Amino acid sequence: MTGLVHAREMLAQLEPADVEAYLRGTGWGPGEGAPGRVSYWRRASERTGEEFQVACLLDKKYRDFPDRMAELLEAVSFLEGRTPEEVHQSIAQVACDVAELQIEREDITDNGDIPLKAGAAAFHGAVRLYAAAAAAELERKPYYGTLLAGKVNEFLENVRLGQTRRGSYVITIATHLPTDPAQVQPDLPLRGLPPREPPFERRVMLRLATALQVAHGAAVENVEAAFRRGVQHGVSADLCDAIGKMAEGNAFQRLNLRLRWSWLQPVPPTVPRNLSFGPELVRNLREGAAHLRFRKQQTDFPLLGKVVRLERFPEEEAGTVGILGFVGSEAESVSVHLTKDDYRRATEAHTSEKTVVCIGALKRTGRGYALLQARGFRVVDGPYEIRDEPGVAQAAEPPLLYGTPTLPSRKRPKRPGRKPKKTKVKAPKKKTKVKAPRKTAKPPPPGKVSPTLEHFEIQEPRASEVSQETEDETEVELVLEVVGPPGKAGLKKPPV
Amino acid sequence: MDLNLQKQEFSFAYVHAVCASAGFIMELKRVDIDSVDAHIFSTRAFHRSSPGLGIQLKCSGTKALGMKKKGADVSGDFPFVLSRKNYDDLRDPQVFMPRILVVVHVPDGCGGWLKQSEKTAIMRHCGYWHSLVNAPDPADPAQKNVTVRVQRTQLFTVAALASIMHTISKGGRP
Repeated sequence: MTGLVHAREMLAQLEPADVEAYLRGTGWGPGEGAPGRVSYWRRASERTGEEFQVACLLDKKYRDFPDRMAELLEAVSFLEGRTPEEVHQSIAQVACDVAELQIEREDITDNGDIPLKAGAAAFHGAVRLYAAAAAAELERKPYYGTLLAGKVNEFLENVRLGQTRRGSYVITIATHLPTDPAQVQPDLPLRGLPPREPPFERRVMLRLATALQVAHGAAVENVEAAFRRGVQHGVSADLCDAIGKMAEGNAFQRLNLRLRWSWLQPVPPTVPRNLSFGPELVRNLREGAAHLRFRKQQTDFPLLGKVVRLERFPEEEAGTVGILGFVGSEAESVSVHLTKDDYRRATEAHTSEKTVVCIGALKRTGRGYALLQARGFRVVDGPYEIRDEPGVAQAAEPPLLYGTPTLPSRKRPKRPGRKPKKTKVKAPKKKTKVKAPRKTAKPPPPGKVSPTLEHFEIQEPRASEVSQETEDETEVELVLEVVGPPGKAGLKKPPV
Repeated sequence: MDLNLQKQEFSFAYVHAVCASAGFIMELKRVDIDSVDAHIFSTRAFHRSSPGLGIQLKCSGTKALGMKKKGADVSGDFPFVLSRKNYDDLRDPQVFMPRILVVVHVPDGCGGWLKQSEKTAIMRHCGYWHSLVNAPDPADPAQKNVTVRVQRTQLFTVAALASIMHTISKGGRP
């Protein structure tokens, strides 16, 4: 009984305008009705040609409104081959753009359970995905870093996470689209007309769809230039990393994205609706993200700030300083390599806490930023306009913040004469695979060990995963395994 | 089986027989939430463009209905007691699908309900229908039961049902 009462309550919450928008959007045609009381809708089954009819009550004050809605849902679900609950969910989200992120993994059980870490990573990736799309709609950049701020945060506050669904593991995210109340006309079946300009929420969803489609193409092409070209469409290292986050672990098989656009604000059929990423494409996305993240370089970048770090080997005359200045809207410590005279001036400026300026090519590094080919280093005295600095590119970019960040009080200036720490960076170990065919073993003569290929077995090659999106070449890996007696038998590369 | 349950099932069978003969579809609602025991539709499921009819089914013996009382009016009406909830639900104008009350009159002993032979199957006795649209508020707001007068001329027959459904299809109410 409780379930039935709950079902009636849910049915009672349906809005007639939403129901009509859904019927209209899914191919039902209106028939004759009674304004303000009931509208009738007809649709033929694509499979059998049989015509279906439903009645949609327009006045929620009717006591049997839930019962009549239940009949409508039953008819619609029968025609669509879905459950009434799924149709109810679709109608309830008619004013939303909905993304369904279906994650296929080997370690998802028949019950639909997913390992905790994988699930948490998937949700985290979903948040980053939406944040990256919102950031790209505001400003195109190859890498943002800090995403959850300002208008992006505001947007995310209005995005809702729906109930997960079985079918691998499905995350449902609904973005509610506002309608323009000034355009509401009560005599029309719609609650409100779509606003003239798409709202920000819809623009972000379109940006998400476009960026994902372009990122998918870039991953297929798998060259840095493709990712770079994609930046203008919203591709960023953050977006690519978000997909990578959702695809963590060896058990990952596929990520399918399905976008359902609000029936109240239809989109052209050319707007992407379905995308799929396998492990191969995810790997390429991660590589693309690395390119976008680590090779950002801006020439003629004017750096204005205070010297917060000094670094010079005693036997050398030049040195490296850290200048705390603004990069975009963020305060960053930028490493700058200076000549002997400039380094001396920097030391004096550091002691007197004066502002300095120089120009160079700004490059993002693993830990922060570096200004390459720095020139024009000097101490700034008095009022200063960085726009007047010779060599500063007058690009049509958002204005830089020209003030200097406040020096953190806990930082103390380095004592002069203190030797900097030398840190050795170990070169990463290269993993080498021995690729050689194995022949069928011929047992060695008794008592004799012959370290030749006769002692090795050739196994059938194992094909790596092939993306279903493209006709990628199958990567074949041959593994060498010793089957001869141990000891003197060793690996030997076959003649090419 | 409990006698009341027997009466309930027999009344369903009676209405079902009338619907089938008239060419209408009857759908039972086993859980009475809104004082509706069954819906009658003119078309089959998923093909409805006109509303149907909701019915509240009751079944009573001759004695309970006072049909054999000395001096009982055989041409007028008879009293029937409804719960306050049923009464209010059936007379509520804020309902899209019209509703009526159907009272099935059966002999006091269930042995006389159904008589069959090779040639005939006779159900005793008959059903009466009654509409409570525009029924007045009860005299006492706190009363738990309300007595309604059911017209003996309003038999629930095939012809009557067809006429009711025709009225509804034109936008009227029975």
